[in-house]
Amino acid sequence: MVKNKITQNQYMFIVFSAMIGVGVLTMAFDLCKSAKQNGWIPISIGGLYPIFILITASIIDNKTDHASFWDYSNKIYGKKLSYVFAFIFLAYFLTIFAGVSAGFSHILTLSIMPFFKPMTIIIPCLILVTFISLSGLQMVGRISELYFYITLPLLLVAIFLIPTGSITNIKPIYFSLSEMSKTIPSTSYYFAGCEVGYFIISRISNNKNTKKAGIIASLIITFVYFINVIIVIYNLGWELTSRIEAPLLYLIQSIEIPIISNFLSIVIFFWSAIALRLLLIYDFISSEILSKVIKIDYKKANFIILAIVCIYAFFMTPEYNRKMIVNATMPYFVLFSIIWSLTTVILVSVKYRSSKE
Amino acid sequence: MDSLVLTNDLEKNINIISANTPANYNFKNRQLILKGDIKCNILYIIGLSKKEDIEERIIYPLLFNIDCDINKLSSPIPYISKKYITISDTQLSSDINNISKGLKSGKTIVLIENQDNCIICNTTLSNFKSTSDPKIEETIRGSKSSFVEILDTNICLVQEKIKNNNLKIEKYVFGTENNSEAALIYMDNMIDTEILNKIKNKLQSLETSYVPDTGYISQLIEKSPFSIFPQTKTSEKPDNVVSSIIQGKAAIFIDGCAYCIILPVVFIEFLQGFEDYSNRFILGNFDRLLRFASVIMVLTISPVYLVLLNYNTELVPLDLIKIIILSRRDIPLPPFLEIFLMEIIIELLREGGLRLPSVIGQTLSIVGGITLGQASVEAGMVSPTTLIAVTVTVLATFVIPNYEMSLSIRLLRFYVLLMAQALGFLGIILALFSIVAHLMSLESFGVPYFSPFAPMRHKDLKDSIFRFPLKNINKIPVTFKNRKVKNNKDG
Repeated sequence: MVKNKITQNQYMFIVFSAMIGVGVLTMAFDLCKSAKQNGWIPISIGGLYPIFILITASIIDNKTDHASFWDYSNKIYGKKLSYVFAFIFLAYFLTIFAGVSAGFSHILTLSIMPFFKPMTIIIPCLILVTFISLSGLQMVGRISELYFYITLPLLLVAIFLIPTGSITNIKPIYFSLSEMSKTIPSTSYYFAGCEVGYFIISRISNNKNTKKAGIIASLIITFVYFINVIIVIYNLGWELTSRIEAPLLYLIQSIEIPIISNFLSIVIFFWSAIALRLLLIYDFISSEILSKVIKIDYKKANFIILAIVCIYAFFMTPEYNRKMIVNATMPYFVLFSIIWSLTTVILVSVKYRSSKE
Repeated sequence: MDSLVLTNDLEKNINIISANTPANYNFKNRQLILKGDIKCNILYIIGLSKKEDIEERIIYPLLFNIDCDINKLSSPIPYISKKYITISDTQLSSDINNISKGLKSGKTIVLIENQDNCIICNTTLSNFKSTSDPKIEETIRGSKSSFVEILDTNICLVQEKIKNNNLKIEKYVFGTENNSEAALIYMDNMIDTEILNKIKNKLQSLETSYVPDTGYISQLIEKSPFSIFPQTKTSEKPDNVVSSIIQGKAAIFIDGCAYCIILPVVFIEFLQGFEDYSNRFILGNFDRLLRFASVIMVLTISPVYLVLLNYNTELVPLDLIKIIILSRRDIPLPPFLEIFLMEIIIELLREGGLRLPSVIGQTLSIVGGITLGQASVEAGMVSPTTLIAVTVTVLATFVIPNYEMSLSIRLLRFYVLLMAQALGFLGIILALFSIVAHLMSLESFGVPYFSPFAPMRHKDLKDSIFRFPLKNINKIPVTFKNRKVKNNKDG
């Protein structure tokens, strides 16, 4: 039996987990290219994006009296437009899903599994998450919750590197509007995925303060990103950071602990749990949207998604391809999700107010 | 089917009862002539009934104490039962099934001429067996007694430890062929009604021909019979069972079985020892941590060793890799086969040791372990470092206090090992991730099996991998209180 109810805490952890993937390992590299030593400022401001998305999700949920995405979408947009929007969201999540699969395989081949082909890594991972996802949203919620606590120390491992850095690496601190305006929009891509909130918020059993849960999830992720970026720059300086593809991994590699000659392997070992959790969330959400869009059983949709993502990830496997596809599509998806959420909030306020009256 | 009942014809009644009772040599029909030339028959099964009780408390008073004319009495059966039978537990019945069941459980039937009912006297022979030391759940502190094969004795052992009016004992009969008696024991004020109803429904709908052991019941009533993890807990110690009952769980006993099953259960319980609470706070926690670490060690030591040898030699420090490579020189077997074979040999020794008498079993384990280990290293079949990895794994399995869970974890290490061989570190990660996901998907009578970790129940974490001081631990875990949980809307 598929169980589809989650708690407010589980909602918070799902949303948090949907945003954090392999991006955190490489984000300092991208940010330092444009914002130099102040790369940590745009990522902190970029945190406003998930706050906006999750607040709108909460408003829509409250106004529609916890109606599902499909119910209120059909009511305000009609069936045809609802299908179109659902399809765009599906494409959005599939891109993240395949992108993370490919990115994960890239990181593994880069670090501890250089002898494996990307698809040899991707296929077993996708098969596993497909089978786990069959258990439904409750399982996704439970895994997100448990692994949040297990992997939180890992996300903050960079804190141990504070003593080794230099304050001169992040100086001078200045806020250039022109530089920031170039960088800030691209930081929202690191928070992409928080839109899963629209699809799961109506399934919360104790929906007392979903707004607060969303804001907490956004603040935690912003803090994690902020701490990792600033410590990377603090240790390596912006010039070196902007030349290394995965600066956080490079930095972690420098940590020495007895017996293990490479601390990175331990980090990657646990990091895989974060990646698998994220894959699970996207597998669930994509399968569910697909099952509604083409009206098939959720379990069948799961296996269709498995096939689609395998093919999609195959085209993303050279890292160059992945970056090209993600960079080309993500701005449009983010823009769509901002416009959709604003429009939906307005329409829901109007339509549901009139229906209540 | 209409139930058969007694008639006024004594001969016919005896024939019907005989037809519904195993016609064995030990079925006894004793004829008496009571005062006033009234025929009376005493039916019982030799060996199941207590002969002294039949002679002194039934036959003697019927023959020598009756001082009135029975034929003149309006209802002679109740009168005789009340005035002459000196057995403490009697029952009047005309139902043949009831009479037949009574006979088979050692009761004695008193039939009187021209009467359409009878007296069923409880003369069951109590095969009381004194309690002995526990064989599997050995502890240093706590009670030293364990359950026996007699249901009533086992119930008494629980009852004498819980002197409370809320203790409920419900009797069941399982197995259409062997009609094995069983008892469900719980505290009415502690157990969650939803959980209790689920247990009762499962027990009532249980259809099987033969139930010789609690293990049968356990498998028949659990939700996921294909899961490797036990969804009920077996115990042979009364104090362990009592502590579980007080925590809001139920226990099922079966006649002829010296173990009971406790239900519902959660995964973490299998790693908690009864002594943890008796020991001092720090010592208890150290033991728990050790057990938790041992589960991780059993699952990962051999696979990680294999991956380090097969795929990621660069992760091992230079000094250590030198030792490993030197020890593996001239070993013909690949690392996977070497580890796999050693693990299988250990399992053979374990299973062999179990089936033999305890003294021979111990000798076999020691001699087999030492001789095989040394011989395989000297013969160049296995490297000493592999032997160390496998031995540490085996030692770690003995730390898991529950035998069934220990077996499950042992078996799972083969799965992790195979995955490690196929996919290296990724294989270990996927295997562990899938095991945790499977644990999360399990339920034991509506209780999430991986609680308090998933769903996270913060209050119950006080008594999980670590335990807080006794005064801070809740009496009844939130996990076993569905009603409260539902109010909190926990998922």
